[in-house]
Amino acid sequence: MKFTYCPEEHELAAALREGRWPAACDPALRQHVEQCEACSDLVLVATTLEQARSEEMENAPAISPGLLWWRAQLRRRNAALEQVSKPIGVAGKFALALSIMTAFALVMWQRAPLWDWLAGFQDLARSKVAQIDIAGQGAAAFPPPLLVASLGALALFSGFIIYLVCRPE
Amino acid sequence: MKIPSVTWNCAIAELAANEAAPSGLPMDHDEFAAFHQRTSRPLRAYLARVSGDSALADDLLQEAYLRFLGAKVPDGGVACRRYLFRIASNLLRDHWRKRRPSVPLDELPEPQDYARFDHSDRMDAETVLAPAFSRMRPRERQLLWLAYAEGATHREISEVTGLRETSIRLLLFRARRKLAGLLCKNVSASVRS
Repeated sequence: MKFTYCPEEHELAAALREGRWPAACDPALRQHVEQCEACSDLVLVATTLEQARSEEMENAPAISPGLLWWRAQLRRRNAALEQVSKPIGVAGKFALALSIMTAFALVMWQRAPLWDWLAGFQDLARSKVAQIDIAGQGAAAFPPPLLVASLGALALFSGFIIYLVCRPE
Repeated sequence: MKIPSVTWNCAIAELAANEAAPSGLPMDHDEFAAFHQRTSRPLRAYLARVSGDSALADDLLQEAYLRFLGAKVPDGGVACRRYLFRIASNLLRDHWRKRRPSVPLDELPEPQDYARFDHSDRMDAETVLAPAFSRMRPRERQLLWLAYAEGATHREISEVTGLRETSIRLLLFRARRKLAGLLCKNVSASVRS
C-alpha cells in the first residue's frame, strides 16, 4: 500500500471536526474530495465513526460515580493496611524461625541433664509406681529449673508468634 | 412511617463529607463526579468499540476509574482525560496479552466476541461499521477510534497508546484505507441484499 499524503487532508479533517462538512465548507474542498481517494476515505471513515460514537454514547449504561468513589477508597485503605501489616508478618516469621532455633540450641546445650531426666522417666516406667522412693527419684529425674523456665517461656512466646503468623487476615 | 429514599450518590457523598480524615484520593467526590460525567460515556464507547465486547467494556471502565483514583493524576481536565484513556488502553492491552501471551498487539486477530453484538436495534452506521471493525486488528480499531471518533491529535494518540508519534500517521493511514475498503464492501453488499 502506497502512503500518499494529500495536502488538503488537514483542512478537510478540521472541517469534519468542526462540523463544517459538507454544507459549510469551501465548495472547492467538496470538489477535491470527489476526486481524491485519500480524502474520500477520510470523509467516509470519520463520518461513520462519529455517528457510531454518538449512537454508542446514547446506549451507554450509567454507572454511579459514588460507587466507584467508595470502591476506590476501600481499595486504597486495603492497600495501606496491607503495606502496614507486611513488615509485621515478616517480623513474625523471623521471630518464629528464631524461636525454633533457640529451642533447638537450648535442647542441644542442656542435652545431658535432659537425657538423665528422660532416663529417670524410663526407670519410673520400669519399676512399679507404688514402690518408688518419690523424694529420691524426683530429685534425680527432674531437669534443672533454668531449663524448665526457659522452655516454658519459649513455648509461651512461640505460641504467641505462631498466632501472629497464622492469624486470619 | 415514610422511609427517605437514599441513592448511592447521596449516601457516599454524605459519608465522604462527614469523614474527618482526608480520603487520600487525587480528587474530591464532587470533582470526581463531574469528571466521571464528562468522561464515562466516551470512554465506554471507546472500550466497547475497540474490544468488541460490551461486558468487558463495562468491567474495564470500572477498573480504569479505580486505578485512576488510586494513581497520582496529572493537573488539568484534558491531561486527566488523556491519562484515563491511557489507563483504559493499558487494561485492554493487558486483557489481550492474558488471552494470548507473547503475541504482539499488532498481530492479534479480530476477537470472536464481536459476534455477541446485537445489531437488531442499531442504526445504519452500526450495522455497517460493526462487521468492518470486526475484521480489523485491535490496534487499528484503537487508532481509528481515537483519531476520528474522539478527535485526538497524533500526539494525544501517541500518549494514550504508547506508540511513537512519528509512526501514528502511517499506521492511521493504513488503518483508514483498510476500514474505508471494508465499509464500501459492506455498503455495497447491504445494497445488493
